[in-house]
Amino acid sequence: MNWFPTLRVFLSHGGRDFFRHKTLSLLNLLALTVGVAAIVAIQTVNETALRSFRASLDLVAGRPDFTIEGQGFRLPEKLILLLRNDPAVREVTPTIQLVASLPDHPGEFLHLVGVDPFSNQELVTYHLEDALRSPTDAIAFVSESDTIALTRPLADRLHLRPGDTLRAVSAGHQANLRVRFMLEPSSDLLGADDHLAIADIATVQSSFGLGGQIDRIEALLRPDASGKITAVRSSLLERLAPNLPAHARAGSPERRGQEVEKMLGAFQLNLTALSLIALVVGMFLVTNTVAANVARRRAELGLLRSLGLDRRSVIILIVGESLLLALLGAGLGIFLGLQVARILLQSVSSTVTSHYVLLSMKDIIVNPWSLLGAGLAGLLAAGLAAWWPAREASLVSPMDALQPGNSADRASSPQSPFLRASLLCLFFTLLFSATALYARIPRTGFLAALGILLAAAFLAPVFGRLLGGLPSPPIASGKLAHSAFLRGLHRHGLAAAALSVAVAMAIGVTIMVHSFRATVDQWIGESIKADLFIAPSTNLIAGALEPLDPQAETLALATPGVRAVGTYREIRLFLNGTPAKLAACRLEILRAYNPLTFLSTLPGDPYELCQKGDFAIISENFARRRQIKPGDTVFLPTPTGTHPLQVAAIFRDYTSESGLLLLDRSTYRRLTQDQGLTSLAIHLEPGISPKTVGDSLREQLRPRGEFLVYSQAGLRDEALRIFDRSFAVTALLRTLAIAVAALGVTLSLTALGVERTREIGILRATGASRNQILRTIMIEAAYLGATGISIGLVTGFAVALILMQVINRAFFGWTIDWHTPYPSLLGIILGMMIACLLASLPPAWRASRLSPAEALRSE
Amino acid sequence: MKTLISFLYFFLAASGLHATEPWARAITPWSWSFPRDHGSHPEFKTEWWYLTGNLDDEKGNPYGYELTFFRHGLQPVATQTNSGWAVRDIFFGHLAVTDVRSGKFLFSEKITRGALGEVVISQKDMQVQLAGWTLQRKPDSTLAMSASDPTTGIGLDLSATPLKPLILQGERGLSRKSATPGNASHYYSFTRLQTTGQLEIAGKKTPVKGLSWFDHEFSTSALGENQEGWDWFCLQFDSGDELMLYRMRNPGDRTDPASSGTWIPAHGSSLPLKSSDFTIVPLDEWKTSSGATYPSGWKISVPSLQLSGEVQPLLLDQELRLQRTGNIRYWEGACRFAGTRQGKPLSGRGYTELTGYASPIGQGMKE
Repeated sequence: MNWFPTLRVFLSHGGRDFFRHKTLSLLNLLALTVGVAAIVAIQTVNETALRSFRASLDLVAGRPDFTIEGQGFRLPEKLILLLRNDPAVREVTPTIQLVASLPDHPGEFLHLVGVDPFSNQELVTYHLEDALRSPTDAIAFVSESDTIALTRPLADRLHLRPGDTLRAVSAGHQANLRVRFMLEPSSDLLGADDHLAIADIATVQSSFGLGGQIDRIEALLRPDASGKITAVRSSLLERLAPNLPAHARAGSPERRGQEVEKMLGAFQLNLTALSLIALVVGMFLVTNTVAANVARRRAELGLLRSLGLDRRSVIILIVGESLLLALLGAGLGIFLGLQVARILLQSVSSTVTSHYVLLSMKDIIVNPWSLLGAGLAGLLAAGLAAWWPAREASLVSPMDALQPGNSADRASSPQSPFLRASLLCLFFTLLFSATALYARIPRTGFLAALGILLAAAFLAPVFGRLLGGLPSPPIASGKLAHSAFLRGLHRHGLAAAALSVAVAMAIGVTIMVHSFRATVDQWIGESIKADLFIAPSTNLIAGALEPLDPQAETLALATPGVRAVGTYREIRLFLNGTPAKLAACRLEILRAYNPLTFLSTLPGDPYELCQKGDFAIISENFARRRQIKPGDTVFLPTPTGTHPLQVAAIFRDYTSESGLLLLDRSTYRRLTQDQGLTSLAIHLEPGISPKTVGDSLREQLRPRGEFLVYSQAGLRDEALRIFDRSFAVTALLRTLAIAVAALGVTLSLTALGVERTREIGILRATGASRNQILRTIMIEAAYLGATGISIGLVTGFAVALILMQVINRAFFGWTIDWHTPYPSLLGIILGMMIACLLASLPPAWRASRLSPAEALRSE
Repeated sequence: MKTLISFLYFFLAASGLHATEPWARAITPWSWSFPRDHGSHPEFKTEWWYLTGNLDDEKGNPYGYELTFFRHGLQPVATQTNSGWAVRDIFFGHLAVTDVRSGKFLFSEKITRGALGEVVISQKDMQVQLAGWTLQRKPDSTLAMSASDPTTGIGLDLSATPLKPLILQGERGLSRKSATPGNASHYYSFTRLQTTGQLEIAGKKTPVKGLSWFDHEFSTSALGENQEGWDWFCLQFDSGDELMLYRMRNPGDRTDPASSGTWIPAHGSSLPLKSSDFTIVPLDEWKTSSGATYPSGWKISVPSLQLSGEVQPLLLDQELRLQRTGNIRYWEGACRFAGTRQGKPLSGRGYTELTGYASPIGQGMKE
């Protein structure tokens, strides 16, 4: 194949065409740009989240061969002796970590890590920049009881310089720490949390009352004769296993990272799926434009063919043009996507922290490979989208193509293939829903959603014809528009399909989010009964990681007007390899003031069972995800051993995505030896003002650190704020899809306008006024909008159903009660219709401005 | 105001003046009492137990070894409370093996805060355990030592029996390092220990026997502020005599007048030597790959003993390059001696230690 002549034809024709039809080409470009931008933004945010997490983990733990860590509870430091004396261990080092609030810097916190700089030398992935440049400094790090190293960004933010002190509070212990070093993460740890601070392990233990405790043990192993450590690690694990506490998890350190990645996986998949929809919508648009281009240039292509260009070259010519444009679109999309990623970062960061793990992202981390991937996806989409019309064009014989006349509109294509395709997609939707729910392959839920969207897309031309079958409006322009719409279905079909996909997605997501929010709101109303809530302020930004000062409970109980104080303790851990939350409450307080909504229970009173013996109450999603019912046993690993807990009841709860295991405080303390608290719920005497008590408690607690004191309404608002933040990205992507679809309407009508130049010329020449032309095209747009929106509306309900009953159930296991947000739906429908009409204005205006003479001039 | 405070802080921290004198100093001779003084003296800042030796395998191939345990006090009382990791001292261990025939010099180091029983040093007798390396004085006065590092593949397991009673170095064990009072250490040695056991090199264990030298030294501020390092020699002659010499180096490679030595005859009492009693003249140089230059080979004369001769290293490169201890480098190597005493040929073997050539000597040694 001689490529060169094709290339020359391609450059001269394609280039000329681009400049001759700027609007069309620019719209096409914009569609691709938005699609690629959506992918780039989501990919970048996802990767930044993962890399930040890994970098922070590496910074804390180094890169050991072997790790032991406590699940939910700390480890006894003596455990390190087991490794120290083992011949397979080359190096072993402990770390302890905690989250401390900084009372003098509201809103900031420290993620303080205690290390042993003598034994971690081979593991560290940071260096301490010698702030005072004196040899005594290195000694100060280990020998002074208050020396810490801060990251430079945090030190700058807090206006701290070497030598300054920093008040830090954790679990009722207050320490004045002295900043003596700057912590410089090694260059490959891009994105590590800048709240990380390093101190000597003895400093952390003694400052915060944690003597004898550590969080992790990291070890380097001696490779065996073959130079590998896998076998060494597994035999070490076997030797250690009998001596490890039940809650200790030992093994390869990659596992921890993988678990977190798995945990974030659902969240990220969600976003990725949404971003792909933007690309799919973009693809529709490209197909649409290319098809329009091809139709318009039939004569030109026919000429080229008759001059000897073969079919293959025609395809190459058309696909090549589209790819060239896509290249530009991909470039712009990458640029735009990175800007969007920056905007999304904060919201995703907070969401991940409040639902999964402490994560603090300050700037995006750009992975050139993902950018390349997104760019290629854009090119591939453009290539695929162009291929179909290109192939069609190549099949037209030069003779036909050169015949003047009806170049634009053709007889409609048969509809049965579309209908069949649509039904097939519907079938796959059901199939994948079933696999997601019953075969427990949650990811197929997204395929089900894709299936229903594609079914809607294929249905669009069929439905358009159906709509065309209705009597036309009884005015001239209405009749013209009606027939034009029917004749233009080959083009409008695609635009309507794109529109219906976008509308379906927007409506589905809107119904789901609204239902979810309404369900949660209602649940909050039922389950938040206390008048005041107290928690360490860092929990707001760092998740429930910093324990509350135990004195807070005593203080609250002693405050006049307080009737009862409920306590809450929360631990994040892994049960059977999947994340879960373990919580402990004073159940007698809950029962008296704030009864839970039980979905099913064992015979007898679940509160009493839990207070008397080893019973637990589990949340609905915990039960669904693990297929557990009342009477079943859950095994809870704790520092005092693994304890079997019988499930007494299942209750409705929306506080934890991973599921909640709730114990009575007495049982919890007996089994875990953990006396910590996470938050308090305070019930007041009737007639006592929450504000007065709240202010008084705030005042009493002030010297003990920074606390959040919420009223009932305040907590509700806070919970809904976190909810809304979690769905902020979803809302943005929804808007994006609608914007792309509206663009499609403009594109479709512009293309048709160009195709119909002759026809419009004839109409004008035979007496049609400019306004009539304008009206005709706008009514045609209304037909198009009505088609897309009607299908989108119906499909949207199906999408909502799949989101709530398939994807949510498969991934999270929540019950979401259906609430139809009529006003929002009406808003979307009207908004889309207006968008369609507005989108039709530029092409309609252009068409109405054509002078008949010019329009009729033969090309 | 804040600036002033931080400036003051800087000054105090750097000069070490913020602490009132917390450590004992070696100003007058120690009142020695054994076996107690074989043990640790935590009231002094720096202390070491130092073993070096020249050994031969069954075929007569020569080997050298060094095994050292250091204690360096950071603060007399740990400031951190309620933590098993609180630091009072940090501990170092150095292990080096010289295999002359294959030209190998291998070394290993330990550094630890000694938390949770990682270091145990008795204050009653010589019982030192440092991260798995041990030195113990047995009831029969034999010193049993054992150390290994699987990563570098070296190790030793040796018993060293004193052939002579211990000798107190300097003035009844007070060994001055510079003119300033207090810049001195308490120092005694076993100068000739019959040694048997095995050395491990590249994972291969070789039975060996020969002679060792043992030093135990404790001090708070042994070095003067300007001193750059020292050259130290211990020589064990075939005649049954031993010689220890050290030259403290002041700026410009000038010998500090406080430098001294000891002559230990085969029989009879030892003889202290002043710096004016001996000369040490370098004969050659050895350049390390990092660019530092060590003297290599010396002419040693002690005119009062009618002793002179040459000390030559058994291997040029016996430099310990210690990464973990803040990139400290020093040369500690097996040597041979050939010369004359009172006109008769004299030969022997020994160890030489050269510090301050490739890296500054420890700040902890000065205060």
